[in-house]
Amino acid sequence: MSAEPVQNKRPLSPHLQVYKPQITSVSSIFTRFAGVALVAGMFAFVGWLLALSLGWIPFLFFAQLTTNPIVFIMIFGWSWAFWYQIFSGGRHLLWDAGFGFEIEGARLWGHATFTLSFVATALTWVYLWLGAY
Amino acid sequence: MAKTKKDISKNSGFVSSGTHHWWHLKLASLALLPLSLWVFFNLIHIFTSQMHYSGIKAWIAEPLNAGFLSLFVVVAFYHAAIGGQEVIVDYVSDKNTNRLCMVLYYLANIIGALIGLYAIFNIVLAHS
Repeated sequence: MSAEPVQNKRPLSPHLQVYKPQITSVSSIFTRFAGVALVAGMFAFVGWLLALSLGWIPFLFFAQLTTNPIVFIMIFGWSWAFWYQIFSGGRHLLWDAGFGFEIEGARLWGHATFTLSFVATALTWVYLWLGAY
Repeated sequence: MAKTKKDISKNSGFVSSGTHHWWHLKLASLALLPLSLWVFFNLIHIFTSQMHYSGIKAWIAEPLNAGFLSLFVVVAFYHAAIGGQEVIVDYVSDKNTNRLCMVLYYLANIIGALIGLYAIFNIVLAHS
């Protein structure tokens, strides 16, 4: 069984760089970026839960972190990644159900995914900002 | 579809079936759609209502909230594990490194879920 497999010289598929970015491919890769960001976000979320359960000193340490501009940017990024993943994931579920495969529909939904995620993120932060003051 | 001896000798053919993986990813995302929105809106509520330490803990300790939150943590990390795995499959080409990354990534997600469950459990216990 363990004989060395014969390496046949099959052609490679073209590298990604030769393709012009299109809304379908861009919206697809951003689903992945958002997903990866959200995995990190989940670790931050359970870290926050853990701090909460350990006592008010760890909790205050966590709460105080949010005043750091870099942490704030991360939280802002996660809020966008969340909305993007919601709309893009919803789009994927619609595809799985057999809808939206026509080229025009796919383009339209690609643009809609970005637009809806921007609008929802903006609304989220307006609401948070209004609620905080 | 199983790999035949001819496939192995030609170094091609299906390695395994992906249907199970795909189906679980879909089930998890379907469950996460309402669950994550519920968590998201409750987090916004927590931050806008100036709820603080004990208030947040009391909210988590409510049975229904603790239940949905636990469900969210488990399903979200499951989705993270089987969804994020695709990134490793695509970009880590060396077989051994790939396997190592996969094991470490799954381990990290299991630990993440356990930390979440432990924290929620602790908060519920402390409150009862």
